[in-house]
Amino acid sequence: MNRKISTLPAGALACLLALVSFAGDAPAPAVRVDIRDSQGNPVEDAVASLHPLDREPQLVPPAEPVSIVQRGQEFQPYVTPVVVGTRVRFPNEDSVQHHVFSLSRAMAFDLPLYRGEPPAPIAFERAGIVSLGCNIHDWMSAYVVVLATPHFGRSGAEGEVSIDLLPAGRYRLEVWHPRLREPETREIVVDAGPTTQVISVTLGADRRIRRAPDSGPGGYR
Amino acid sequence: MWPRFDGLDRAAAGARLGWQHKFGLGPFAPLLRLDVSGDLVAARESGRAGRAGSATLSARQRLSHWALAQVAHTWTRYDGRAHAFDRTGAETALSLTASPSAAWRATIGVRRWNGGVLSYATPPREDLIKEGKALTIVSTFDRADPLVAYYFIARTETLRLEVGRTLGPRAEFALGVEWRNTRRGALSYRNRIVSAGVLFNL
Repeated sequence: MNRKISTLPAGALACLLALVSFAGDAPAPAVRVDIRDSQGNPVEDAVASLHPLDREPQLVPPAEPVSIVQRGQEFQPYVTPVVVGTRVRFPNEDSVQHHVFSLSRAMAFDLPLYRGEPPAPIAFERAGIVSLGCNIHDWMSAYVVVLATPHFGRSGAEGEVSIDLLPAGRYRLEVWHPRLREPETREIVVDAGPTTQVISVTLGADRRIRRAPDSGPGGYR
Repeated sequence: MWPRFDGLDRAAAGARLGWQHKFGLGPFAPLLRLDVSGDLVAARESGRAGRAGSATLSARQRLSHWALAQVAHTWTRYDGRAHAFDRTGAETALSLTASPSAAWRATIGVRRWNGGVLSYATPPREDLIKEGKALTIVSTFDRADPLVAYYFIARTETLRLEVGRTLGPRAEFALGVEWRNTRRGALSYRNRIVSAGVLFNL
């Protein structure tokens, strides 16, 4: 093998190096999703995911569990997208106990009253939306979005998701948000270079339970 | 602020023990709760100071993410330093709260109290003697003529409307108005009460 390389003509080697150099400079296929509400405002905590239509995606859950923390009697973060098979831990950093649960079809579980770290992370093996709550503090709410694709992201305050390192091909772009009745979907083709998709969504009412001090029994909450 | 009513100023410190059971998982599971409380009460008029105790059994059902219904029954007992200010009774309360947004709530509630009531009046009051008993002379209200505290068992029905505005995740400002009617035989009292307060949860 070494001998063969050594016999390559000098001109052919120069061509090969030029080709490698050109491929290295080319922009990698990537999709930037810009999510706006009907007034044009950026939408935070939306999950954009790309589902390959021409191939089966390779699903490799992260080696380390993902964390959803209970802090200040709220879940942080509010929305957590993960790939199928991901393990999630629910550390409680509050001085009060929490009772984390889900009644969702994609993953039903129950972590009775605890402080600190619960015994073991929970593996989310089925794609779907998992709604989390605390059975003590009704206003605590969060979502785990379990996806059968490795290509996804969550929007920040600017309403943007960037998904890079994509193989070229056809994809179904799906945008989910807790206040959307149905996910927004569209088919896109990813080829060389980055593309931007602007998604406009109509958000429904925020159905989170109001947080307020408890005036106690017989009082008004 | 209102010198005539300074004698009613009170401050209390105490403890509350609670036990609650939720019949299932989630915010829409009904909840049953038992609370027992005890307070030491200090008062500007020393006779009004004393010890207060109560036990409350309450149930709560969330009807939707914005509506909550509650019912509670409370037994209370107050032992004043002067027996004239002892008070015992029980109250049943029903309330419905609507939270149209994360910031605001409105609550409508009704309550019925059966128990001791104090009425301050200038004697002679044959109508009060007929229903209760004269206990003591009070100078609480800085009146030229002394008032007598009459005690009798009566029923008080209350309608309360309250609006709350959150002041962050642990605090709320509440403004309420109450219509109270107290009846015993031929006696009838009407009170209209406006209250404002800030509630803070540690």
